Amino acid sequence: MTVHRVRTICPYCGVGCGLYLLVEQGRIVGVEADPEHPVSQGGLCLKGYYGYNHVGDPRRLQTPLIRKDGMLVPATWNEALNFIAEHLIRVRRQDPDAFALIASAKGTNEDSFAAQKFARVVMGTNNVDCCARLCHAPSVAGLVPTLGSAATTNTIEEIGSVTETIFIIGSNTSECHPLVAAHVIKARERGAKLIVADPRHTEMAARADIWLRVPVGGNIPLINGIMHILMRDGLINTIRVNRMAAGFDALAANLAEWTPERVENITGVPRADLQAAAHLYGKASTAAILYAMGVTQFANGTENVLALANLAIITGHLGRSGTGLFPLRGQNNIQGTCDMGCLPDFLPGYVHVGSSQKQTRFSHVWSVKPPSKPGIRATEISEGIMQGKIRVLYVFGANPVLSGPDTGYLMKALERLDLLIVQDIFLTETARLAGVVLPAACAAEKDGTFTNTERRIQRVRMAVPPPGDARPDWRIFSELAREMGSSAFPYRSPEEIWGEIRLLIPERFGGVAYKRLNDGPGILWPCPDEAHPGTPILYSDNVFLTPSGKAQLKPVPIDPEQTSAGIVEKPDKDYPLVLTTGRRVYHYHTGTITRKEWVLNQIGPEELVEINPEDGRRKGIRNGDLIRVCTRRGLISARAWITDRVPPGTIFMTFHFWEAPVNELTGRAQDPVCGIPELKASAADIKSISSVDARMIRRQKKERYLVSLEVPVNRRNVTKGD
Amino acid sequence: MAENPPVINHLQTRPQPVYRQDLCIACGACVGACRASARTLRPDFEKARVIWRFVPEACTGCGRCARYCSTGAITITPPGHLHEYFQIIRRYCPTGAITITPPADELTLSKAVKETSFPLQKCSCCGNHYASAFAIAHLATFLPDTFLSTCTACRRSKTAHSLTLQLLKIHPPNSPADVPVRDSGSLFESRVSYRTEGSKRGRAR
Amino acid sequence: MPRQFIIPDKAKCLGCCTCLAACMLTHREEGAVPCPRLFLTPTAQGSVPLQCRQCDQAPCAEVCPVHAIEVQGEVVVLNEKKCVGCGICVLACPIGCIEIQAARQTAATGITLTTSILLPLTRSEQDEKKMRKIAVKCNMCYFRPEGPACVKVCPTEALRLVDEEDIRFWNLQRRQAYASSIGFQGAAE
Repeated sequence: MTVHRVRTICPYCGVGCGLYLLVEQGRIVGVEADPEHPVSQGGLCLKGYYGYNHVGDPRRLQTPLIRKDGMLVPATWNEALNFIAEHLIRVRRQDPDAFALIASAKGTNEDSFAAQKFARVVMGTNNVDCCARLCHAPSVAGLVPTLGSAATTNTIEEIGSVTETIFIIGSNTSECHPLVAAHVIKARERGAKLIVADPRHTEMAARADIWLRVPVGGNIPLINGIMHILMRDGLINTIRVNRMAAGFDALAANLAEWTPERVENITGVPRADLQAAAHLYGKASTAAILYAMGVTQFANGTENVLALANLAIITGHLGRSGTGLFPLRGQNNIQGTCDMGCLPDFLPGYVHVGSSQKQTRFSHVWSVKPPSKPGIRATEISEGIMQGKIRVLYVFGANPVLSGPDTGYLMKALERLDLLIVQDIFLTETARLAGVVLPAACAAEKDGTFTNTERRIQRVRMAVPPPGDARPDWRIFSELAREMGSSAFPYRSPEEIWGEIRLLIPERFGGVAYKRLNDGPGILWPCPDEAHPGTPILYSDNVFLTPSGKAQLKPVPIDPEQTSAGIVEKPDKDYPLVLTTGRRVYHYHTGTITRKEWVLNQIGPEELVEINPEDGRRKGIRNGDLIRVCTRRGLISARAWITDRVPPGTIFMTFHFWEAPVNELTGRAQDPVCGIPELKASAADIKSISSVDARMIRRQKKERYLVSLEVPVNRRNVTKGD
Repeated sequence: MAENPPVINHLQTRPQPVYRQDLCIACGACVGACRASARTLRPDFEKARVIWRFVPEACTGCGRCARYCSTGAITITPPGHLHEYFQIIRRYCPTGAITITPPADELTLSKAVKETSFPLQKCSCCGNHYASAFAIAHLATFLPDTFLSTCTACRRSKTAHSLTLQLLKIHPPNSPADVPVRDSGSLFESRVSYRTEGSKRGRAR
Repeated sequence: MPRQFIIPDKAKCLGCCTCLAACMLTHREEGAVPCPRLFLTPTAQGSVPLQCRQCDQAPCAEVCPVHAIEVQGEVVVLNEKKCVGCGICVLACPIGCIEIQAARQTAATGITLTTSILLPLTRSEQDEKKMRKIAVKCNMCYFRPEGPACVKVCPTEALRLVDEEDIRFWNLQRRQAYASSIGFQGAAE
């Protein structure tokens, strides 16, 4: 039997590794790494290699489902689209802002573009957001005013080949972005130095030259302390900083109070280590900062990012090869989804919805003026539903019931909706609550483009046909728009959508033609015309994308009285521990896909709560005990893993498992600037429980998330006949 | 007679394992070999011991335990003249009225040791109990005790720890060896070749 | 006669478990117990996967009461049909790279593990009765013509297949180093 190879991009994390899908008789039978891919260079992690079985899984959604008499029953596309269109037309007539759309960061650029265009043009609202709100919204809020763009400044390949000092802060790189970590390892072999700031003893921290065990929420004192040392020791070229940036004097005044002694008092990081790290970063000729959720998922996430931007600007570590800021993106296409304008306040290409002169090209191409009032953020949706502002929610390829903060509140809110529409590849925890479920095609079943974390636009190719009646997302949006009487979606292929994107945002995507993507290894935007090779390094010659062309330094003051790490919900007598959340290498986000892969689920079959031995002793918990973790918002049960990976007073959990849905525990405290929830810190308590209690809690969760609804498609039809 | 038919005790009609506690090291081979689950070996970490149990009712007398016992603690009675004898009688008796009882010395076999406990060995590194102390002592008669006193996880930790960066410095065969490495013994430290004189195992056949 | 074995490079390993997944799937396809034959071992300098070194006169083969572990060609292979899961080989392994795993045979999925690989904490008492215990150790994927699967998939090339030629070369290097050190001392005197 002939096996043909389809070159495409890995659908998991933001690194965007290249791979070949091996297809035999319309079925994916294996994966090969793409040795010519500029990032992965012939490597893949276990999700890339073995995470393809979900494509042909019998539990995939194959027909639309409509809720009738409380049951989700299969329906035809016509029925489903008619039903939705009727509802949406009514909502549009009454109040377009009662509609909100959560876009997927796993779809292609074309899907995301179609989604936001549907919300803006067909529904007439800016209520469109994506999961960037839960990950890199502070990067946008922090880097756009200071540098002009929130994207990674350089290519990942440069870390491995050029960078002298790598500073990883708040990123568990080896588990969440393994192929970036591979480049860091390559750099280490070359002799590059590695500084890691993380509360957990992660694999990268273990391999670091200097590991700063900063407590959860202690980033700002740490970074300010580093800058103080650089200033004190004269490692800052003041003339150069003043030439390329504004606001240095205010920053210098703020930094004066951040003596290493004070930083040591607040964070517990030894001043000698801090000084060594500062010198290593400041004296290097090329230095890169890699950061991720450990910086952003705080109520002061924007300030954390600002502090990092300040550090990069005053040391001049920007705009050269191997030197820059790397906000590591979590989802495969989160960069693209933001570029495509799935944000409540930005149109495609980061054109602010309020800027009237730039909007004209959109109204010209779309022949409808996009709404100018910024929409509602994803994290505000549950509040909006409770207040009656949002009545119809369209969730496209997202699972907020497991991923959002304080999901108990969100689930209560979802019950109040008039209609919840979910478009996904599986019957996710969110889809089980929906009024209408639309089956979508997954990444291996459609054509399009992904933009990875380094701004590289790469071609995704269809390897197998979608199962049953499932359709690509862009087609679903087009047909729904047509059903609602709109002529704004005349597309017959993703390439036509991409053509419109190029027309609308020529300064970034003008030169990115499909035929160039088909042959080459992808193009890094901005690429204004077809002769342009793409831009691997942003801000070269220190010309920034801010209006003045200069970087803006924004001092990050914190309360001078503050003596501990800056988190909203501090541990207290009743909840003495800090619960921090994250991911593990063998699962991906809410586990919708990876929990269905046999091998990945075997490696990580259940949630393990990392507990420091000291806390374990105090609470009488041994390795492998079943425990109850509770916060002010709920309780879950999981198994304890007594380990030194976490510092005393901190416990770590992941959000992969519905059995232990940690986001029931996280709080809704938000960053006032960008609305990111503080997922990384909640006050929690743990207690050893019996296996009977654990089983009871598990049964409750099973009922709560309607786990029994997700059955293989052949069995679903049987229950329909009953 | 008919209302009280004699029952043949199967325990006595099968070959019987004979167990000598003084030879047993609680290695668990008999437990793994037994297909009838007549034996269990359960650790009791609280009391630092491992409990060996034998359920004579479940034993089928197959003899696998004796075959796989490393120390000869289990032997089996000759697969039975008695057994065949009973079988024949049973086959030919039309009413099932059998009055033969087994001889007294055969009966004693069913009164063999059914439960016994052994001390557990404590890992010299992490302090956890990890195996029967007698099994370790038995292995120590023919394997070096440099590693036997630690549990497997600690052995791995030790191995992982001894994997130094030296491998990096050793050049692959086709590149010039410009930096000679003085000490790279650790690479082979844990790859061992053991053949000591006491490596004859007492194996009951 | 030295055999082939796989040795990890601690500096290169990411702890990403790709080798474990490759090992599980390769053995599953072969019909063997689908447990990883590599053991991810945490150290202060990061995790590293360890596996059998295919010792000469392997102690595990020597102590096996059922002769399930045998030397086949250059590889120390465990015959899963013979293994009774007694665990004496686990105690005899100097580097701790054999473990007893419990596997359960079900009609739907074939053999399923009931223990977490990274942390064998999920094993419960009542499960144990239904499960078959078996020892697992690296067999260098002897059935696989392409060679060991873990070496092939490692994204950082941290796993290295060491063969006879490598060993001979390293021994030569060590001799050279020793020889040159003698020369140096002589010159100093």
